[in-house]
Amino acid sequence: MKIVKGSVLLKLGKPLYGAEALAAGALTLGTRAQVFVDEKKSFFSVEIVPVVKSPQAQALALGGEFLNEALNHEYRQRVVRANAPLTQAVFSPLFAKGFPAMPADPLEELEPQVKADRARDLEELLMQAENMQ
Amino acid sequence: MSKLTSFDKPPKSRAGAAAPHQYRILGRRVLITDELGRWALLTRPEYDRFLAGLKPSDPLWPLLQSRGFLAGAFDFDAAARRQFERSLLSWKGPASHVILVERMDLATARRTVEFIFRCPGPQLTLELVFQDAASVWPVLWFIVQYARRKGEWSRRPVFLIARGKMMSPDQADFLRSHGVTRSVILELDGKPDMKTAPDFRAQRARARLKPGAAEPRAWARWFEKWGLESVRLLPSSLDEKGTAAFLAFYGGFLDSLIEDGERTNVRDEWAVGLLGGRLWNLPGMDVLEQLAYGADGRVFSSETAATGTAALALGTVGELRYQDIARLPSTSAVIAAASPDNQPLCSQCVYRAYCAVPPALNHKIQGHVWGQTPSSDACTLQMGILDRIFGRLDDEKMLLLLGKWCVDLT
Repeated sequence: MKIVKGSVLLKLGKPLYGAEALAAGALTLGTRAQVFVDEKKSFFSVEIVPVVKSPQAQALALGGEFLNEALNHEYRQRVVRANAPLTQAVFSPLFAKGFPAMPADPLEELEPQVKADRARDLEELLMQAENMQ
Repeated sequence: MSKLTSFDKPPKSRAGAAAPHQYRILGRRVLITDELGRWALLTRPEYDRFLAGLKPSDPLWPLLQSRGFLAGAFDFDAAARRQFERSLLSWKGPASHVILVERMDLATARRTVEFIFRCPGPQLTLELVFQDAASVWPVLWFIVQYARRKGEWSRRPVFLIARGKMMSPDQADFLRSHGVTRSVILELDGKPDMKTAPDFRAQRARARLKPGAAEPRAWARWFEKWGLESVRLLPSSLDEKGTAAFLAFYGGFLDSLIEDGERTNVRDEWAVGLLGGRLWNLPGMDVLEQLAYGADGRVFSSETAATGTAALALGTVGELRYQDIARLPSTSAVIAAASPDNQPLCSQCVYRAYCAVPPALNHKIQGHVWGQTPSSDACTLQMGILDRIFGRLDDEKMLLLLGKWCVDLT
C-alpha cells in the first residue's frame, strides 16, 4: 500500500481478488472516498482518493478498511460456495413454499354468526379505547 | 489475531477415529462440539486420546459415543433426526413480535395485531415497547385486549410483555390481571443499594451496564431480592472496552447464579437464548425469531432494524401479507447472512450451533448485514458469553441451573 499525493495506491493480484470483492471494498468506504480500478492481465490497480483531504494515517486506515472488506468478501464467497449444497437444501424449500400464513379460522368460516360476533366485539373494544383518549 | 484458538503443538490424530467436530481451548480444557450442538468438555490428555482413537474399554468411550463424536460408532439416524429438528425446515415462523407503541394510532394497532396473528407459529409473544404508559394507554389497553381475544379465538398461547416506564396502580392491575409480564430497562452503576426498594415492580429486566458497574454478585442478589425473574445484561457500548467490561461482569453474574442455583429464581436470558441451539431461538434474530412494527405500521426484520435502518423495512401492515415476506430480497439477505454456514469465521467456530449475530445488528455496527465477524464486537461479546457458559458445563450445579431454566443440553 502506497500513499501518493494523499491517495492510496494498491496492487491486488487477480487469482485472489475478483472485481466483486473490489466492489464490496468500495461500498464499505461509502461516500468517504472515490475508488478507481484499472484492470490489467494479472492484477488490479486500485486508487482510493479520500473525498476530504486527510492525513496519511487516515488515508492508510481507509486503505486498510477497503482491503479488509475485499478479502472478507472473497473469503465469504468461497465459504458460501463450499457450503452451498447444504444451505440450498435447507433454504430452497423454505423460500419455495414461502412462509405459509395461518389459514382463516374454520369456526368463522363455518358459522357466519361467530364472525359477526367477533367483529362486533372488536368494534366495541375500539370504541372503548377511543373513549379513553 | 484470530478469535479461534489453536494448539502450540497439534495433537496426533488417527484417520477415522473422531467424527467431524470443532474445538476450542478453554483454559486447561478443550471444548468440542459438532454442528448439531452436541458437546463435550475434555482435558488435554483426554482430547489427545480421543483423536488418537478410543478403545471401547476407555472410560470416555460411552460419553463420546452417546454424543456422536466417535466416527466408528456414529448413529446416522439420530444425527439426521437432530439435524432436521434444528434446521430451518422445522421453523414455524417468527415467535417474537415487538410493537413500538409510542405514537401508534388505534387503526394501526388493530392492523398490527391482525398481521401478527397471521404468523403460523404455535405460540406468539407480543412485546409492547413504550416510553411512558400514561401517554399511550388507550393503544396499550386495546392491543392487550385484542391480542388476548385473538389468542383465545386461534387457540394459541399468547405471551404479552410490556416494556417501558411504569404506570399508575390501576394500569398495573389491569396488566397483571391480563397476564402481561412487566419488563423494565435499568442502568446498573456502581454497587446495588440492597436496602431501598426500587420504584417499580417487574418480572423482567434489560440491564445496561454503565462504565462504573461493579460487584456483579451483589447485583445478582439484588435482582433476586426485588423479584426479577429474567435478566438480560447489556454492555454499556459495543466496542472493545465496553465488551471487555461486560464479559468480566457477566462472568461474575453467572458464577453467582450458579452458586445460588437452588435458591435463586433469576434467569439469565443470554444463556437461555444462546443454548436453545436453533437460529430461530436467538433473541432478536431478524425474521426468524423476531419481527418489529413501527408506530406508522411499518414491518421491520427486528427491533434493531426498526430503531436503526430503513433498509430492513419489509412493508406496512395492511398492505404486506405475511406469506409475501419470503419473496422479499431483504428477507433472503438477512436469512443468508444469519446462517453461520455462510460466515467465514462462524463456519469454523466451536459455537456455530449456538450462535449468530443478527444481521440488523451487523448493519448497525458495521454497515452491512453480513458484517465482518473477525472485527465484530457483537461476535466477541457472544463468543465471550459462550466461553463463560461452556467453561462451567462440567459443574453439576451449572447443569442443574440450566435444567431449572428448561435448557436441555443432554
